[in-house]
Amino acid sequence: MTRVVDAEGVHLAAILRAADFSNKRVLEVGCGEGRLTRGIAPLAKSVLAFDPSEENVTHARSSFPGELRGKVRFGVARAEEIEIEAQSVDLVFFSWSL
Amino acid sequence: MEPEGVVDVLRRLLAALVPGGDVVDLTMSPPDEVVESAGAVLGHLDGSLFLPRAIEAGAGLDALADEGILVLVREEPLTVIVRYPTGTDVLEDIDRRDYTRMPASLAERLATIETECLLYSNCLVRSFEKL
Repeated sequence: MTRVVDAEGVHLAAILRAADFSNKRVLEVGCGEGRLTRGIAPLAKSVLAFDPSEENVTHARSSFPGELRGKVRFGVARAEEIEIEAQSVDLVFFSWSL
Repeated sequence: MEPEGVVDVLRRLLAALVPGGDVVDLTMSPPDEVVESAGAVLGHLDGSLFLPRAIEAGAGLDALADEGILVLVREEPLTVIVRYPTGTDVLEDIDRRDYTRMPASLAERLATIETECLLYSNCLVRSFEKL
Protein backbone atom coordinates (compact mmCIF):
# COMPACT_ATOMS: atom_id res chain seq x y z
CA MET A 1 0.00 0.00 0.00
CA THR A 2 1.48 3.31 -1.06
CA ARG A 3 0.20 6.58 0.25
CA VAL A 4 1.52 10.11 0.33
CA VAL A 5 0.71 12.05 3.48
CA ASP A 6 0.61 15.82 3.30
CA ALA A 7 2.72 16.39 0.19
CA GLU A 8 1.94 20.08 0.60
CA GLY A 9 3.71 20.21 3.98
CA VAL A 10 0.70 21.70 5.77
CA HIS A 11 1.36 19.81 9.01
CA LEU A 12 4.99 20.80 9.31
CA ALA A 13 4.36 24.42 8.42
CA ALA A 14 1.64 24.70 11.06
CA ILE A 15 3.80 23.04 13.71
CA LEU A 16 6.67 25.38 12.99
CA ARG A 17 4.30 28.34 13.26
CA ALA A 18 3.03 27.01 16.59
CA ALA A 19 6.40 27.21 18.35
CA ASP A 20 10.03 28.03 17.77
CA PHE A 21 11.96 24.75 17.52
CA SER A 22 15.30 26.46 16.94
CA ASN A 23 18.08 24.99 19.07
CA LYS A 24 15.53 23.34 21.39
CA ARG A 25 15.77 19.96 23.10
CA VAL A 26 12.58 18.37 21.82
CA LEU A 27 10.59 15.41 23.17
CA GLU A 28 8.32 14.06 20.42
CA VAL A 29 5.53 11.76 21.59
CA GLY A 30 4.00 9.73 18.77
CA CYS A 31 6.61 10.13 16.04
CA GLY A 32 5.16 7.45 13.75
CA GLU A 33 7.54 6.77 10.89
CA GLY A 34 9.39 10.02 11.58
CA ARG A 35 7.70 12.13 8.91
CA LEU A 36 7.51 15.24 11.10
CA THR A 37 10.70 14.39 12.98
CA ARG A 38 12.57 14.89 9.70
CA GLY A 39 11.19 18.43 9.52
CA ILE A 40 11.92 19.31 13.13
CA ALA A 41 15.40 17.84 13.45
CA PRO A 42 17.27 20.33 11.23
CA LEU A 43 16.14 23.15 13.53
CA ALA A 44 16.28 21.48 16.92
CA LYS A 45 19.31 20.99 19.14
CA SER A 46 18.18 17.41 19.76
CA VAL A 47 15.06 15.27 19.36
CA LEU A 48 14.01 12.35 21.54
CA ALA A 49 11.23 10.68 19.55
CA PHE A 50 8.95 7.88 20.77
CA ASP A 51 6.25 5.79 19.15
CA PRO A 52 4.40 2.74 20.48
CA SER A 53 4.90 0.85 17.21
CA GLU A 54 8.23 -0.97 16.84
CA GLU A 55 7.55 -1.21 13.11
CA ASN A 56 7.18 2.57 12.88
CA VAL A 57 10.34 3.23 14.87
CA THR A 58 12.35 0.76 12.80
CA HIS A 59 11.19 2.53 9.65
CA ALA A 60 11.94 5.95 11.15
CA ARG A 61 15.46 4.92 12.12
CA SER A 62 16.30 3.30 8.81
CA SER A 63 14.93 6.12 6.66
CA PHE A 64 16.28 9.03 8.66
CA PRO A 65 18.78 11.26 6.84
CA GLY A 66 22.31 10.34 7.86
CA GLU A 67 23.42 13.91 8.49
CA LEU A 68 20.70 14.33 11.15
CA ARG A 69 21.05 11.00 12.92
CA GLY A 70 23.38 12.44 15.53
CA LYS A 71 20.65 14.77 16.73
CA VAL A 72 17.84 12.25 17.04
CA ARG A 73 17.21 9.25 19.26
CA PHE A 74 14.18 7.04 18.61
CA GLY A 75 12.51 4.79 21.14
CA VAL A 76 9.57 2.40 21.30
CA ALA A 77 7.16 3.45 24.05
CA ARG A 78 3.62 4.56 24.65
CA ALA A 79 3.17 8.01 26.18
CA GLU A 80 2.53 6.50 29.60
CA GLU A 81 5.72 4.43 29.43
CA ILE A 82 8.17 7.23 28.64
CA GLU A 83 10.75 7.85 31.37
CA ILE A 84 12.67 11.08 31.09
CA GLU A 85 14.65 13.26 33.45
CA ALA A 86 12.91 16.28 35.02
CA GLN A 87 13.37 19.60 33.23
CA SER A 88 15.55 18.04 30.54
CA VAL A 89 13.64 19.25 27.45
CA ASP A 90 12.60 22.66 26.12
CA LEU A 91 9.64 21.57 23.99
CA VAL A 92 7.20 18.65 24.07
CA PHE A 93 5.46 17.79 20.81
CA PHE A 94 2.44 15.50 20.94
CA SER A 95 1.51 14.11 17.54
CA TRP A 96 -1.89 12.32 17.68
CA SER A 97 -0.55 10.61 20.74
CA LEU A 98 -2.72 11.49 23.73
CA MET B 1 -4.86 5.78 26.20
CA GLU B 2 -8.10 6.08 28.17
CA PRO B 3 -9.20 9.71 28.64
CA GLU B 4 -9.11 9.53 32.43
CA GLY B 5 -5.41 8.66 32.28
CA VAL B 6 -4.43 11.51 29.99
CA VAL B 7 -4.02 14.20 32.65
CA ASP B 8 -1.82 11.97 34.82
CA VAL B 9 0.41 11.11 31.86
CA LEU B 10 0.60 14.75 30.84
CA ARG B 11 1.65 15.79 34.34
CA ARG B 12 4.48 13.26 34.28
CA LEU B 13 5.68 14.19 30.79
CA LEU B 14 5.46 17.90 31.47
CA ALA B 15 7.73 17.41 34.48
CA ALA B 16 10.42 16.85 31.85
CA LEU B 17 9.77 20.31 30.44
CA VAL B 18 11.63 23.37 31.69
CA PRO B 19 9.56 26.29 33.03
CA GLY B 20 8.73 28.54 30.09
CA GLY B 21 9.00 25.57 27.73
CA ASP B 22 6.57 24.91 24.91
CA VAL B 23 3.96 22.23 24.34
CA VAL B 24 2.72 21.62 20.79
CA ASP B 25 -0.25 19.32 20.27
CA LEU B 26 -1.32 18.04 16.84
CA THR B 27 -4.61 16.20 16.79
CA MET B 28 -7.48 15.26 14.51
CA SER B 29 -10.65 17.32 14.79
CA PRO B 30 -14.24 17.19 13.50
CA PRO B 31 -15.91 17.00 11.04
CA ASP B 32 -15.41 13.47 9.70
CA GLU B 33 -12.75 12.86 7.08
CA VAL B 34 -13.87 13.10 3.44
CA VAL B 35 -12.80 10.82 0.58
CA GLU B 36 -12.70 12.20 -2.95
CA SER B 37 -11.74 10.91 -6.35
CA ALA B 38 -11.59 12.82 -9.64
CA GLY B 39 -12.99 15.88 -7.88
CA ALA B 40 -16.11 14.11 -6.62
CA VAL B 41 -16.90 13.36 -2.98
CA LEU B 42 -17.27 9.61 -2.48
CA GLY B 43 -18.26 9.76 1.16
CA HIS B 44 -17.20 10.37 4.75
CA LEU B 45 -15.39 8.10 7.17
CA ASP B 46 -17.16 7.35 10.43
CA GLY B 47 -15.21 9.03 13.19
CA SER B 48 -17.92 8.64 15.82
CA LEU B 49 -15.66 6.44 17.93
CA PHE B 50 -12.37 8.20 17.25
CA LEU B 51 -13.14 11.91 17.30
CA PRO B 52 -14.66 11.99 20.83
CA ARG B 53 -11.49 10.29 22.09
CA ALA B 54 -9.34 12.90 20.35
CA ILE B 55 -11.41 15.71 21.84
CA GLU B 56 -11.25 14.22 25.34
CA ALA B 57 -7.50 13.76 25.03
CA GLY B 58 -7.09 17.38 24.04
CA ALA B 59 -9.17 18.30 27.05
CA GLY B 60 -6.31 17.00 29.20
CA LEU B 61 -4.22 19.97 28.12
CA ASP B 62 -7.17 22.27 28.78
CA ALA B 63 -7.42 20.86 32.29
CA LEU B 64 -3.78 21.70 32.95
CA ALA B 65 -4.37 25.19 31.55
CA ASP B 66 -7.30 25.57 33.94
CA GLU B 67 -4.95 24.61 36.80
CA GLY B 68 -2.51 27.33 35.75
CA ILE B 69 0.22 24.88 34.72
CA LEU B 70 -0.05 25.75 31.02
CA VAL B 71 -1.27 28.76 29.10
CA LEU B 72 -2.68 28.49 25.57
CA VAL B 73 -0.58 30.53 23.17
CA ARG B 74 -1.95 29.68 19.74
CA GLU B 75 -4.34 27.38 17.92
CA GLU B 76 -4.72 26.77 14.20
CA PRO B 77 -7.15 24.49 12.39
CA LEU B 78 -5.91 22.96 9.15
CA THR B 79 -6.83 20.40 6.53
CA VAL B 80 -4.34 17.80 5.41
CA ILE B 81 -4.56 15.65 2.28
CA VAL B 82 -3.49 12.01 2.07
CA ARG B 83 -3.14 10.65 -1.47
CA TYR B 84 -3.71 7.00 -2.38
CA PRO B 85 -3.09 5.37 -5.77
CA THR B 86 -6.45 3.51 -5.69
CA GLY B 87 -9.56 3.03 -3.60
CA THR B 88 -8.26 -0.31 -2.37
CA ASP B 89 -5.28 1.49 -0.85
CA VAL B 90 -7.67 3.70 1.13
CA LEU B 91 -9.51 0.64 2.41
CA GLU B 92 -6.27 -1.05 3.49
CA ASP B 93 -5.04 2.07 5.30
CA ILE B 94 -8.25 2.74 7.19
CA ASP B 95 -8.46 -0.94 8.14
CA ARG B 96 -5.24 -0.45 10.13
CA ARG B 97 -6.83 2.21 12.34
CA ASP B 98 -8.29 1.26 15.70
CA TYR B 99 -11.21 3.64 16.05
CA THR B 100 -12.17 4.90 12.58
CA ARG B 101 -14.90 2.99 10.77
CA MET B 102 -15.37 2.62 7.03
CA PRO B 103 -19.07 2.87 6.09
CA ALA B 104 -20.13 -0.10 3.96
CA SER B 105 -21.48 2.09 1.15
CA LEU B 106 -18.19 3.98 0.90
CA ALA B 107 -16.19 0.74 1.00
CA GLU B 108 -18.19 -0.60 -1.95
CA ARG B 109 -17.47 2.51 -3.99
CA LEU B 110 -13.79 2.58 -3.11
CA ALA B 111 -13.32 -1.06 -4.06
CA THR B 112 -14.16 -0.18 -7.66
CA ILE B 113 -11.91 2.87 -8.01
CA GLU B 114 -8.59 2.27 -9.69
CA THR B 115 -7.48 5.91 -9.88
CA GLU B 116 -6.11 8.30 -7.26
CA CYS B 117 -8.19 8.94 -4.15
CA LEU B 118 -7.73 11.84 -1.75
CA LEU B 119 -8.52 11.78 1.96
CA TYR B 120 -9.12 15.16 3.60
CA SER B 121 -8.41 15.14 7.34
CA ASN B 122 -9.17 18.01 9.67
CA CYS B 123 -6.56 18.74 12.29
CA LEU B 124 -5.91 21.20 15.07
CA VAL B 125 -2.47 22.43 16.14
CA ARG B 126 -2.31 24.08 19.54
CA SER B 127 0.64 25.44 21.44
CA PHE B 128 0.96 26.12 25.14
CA GLU B 129 3.62 27.58 27.41
CA LYS B 130 4.51 25.91 30.70
CA LEU B 131 4.31 28.45 33.50
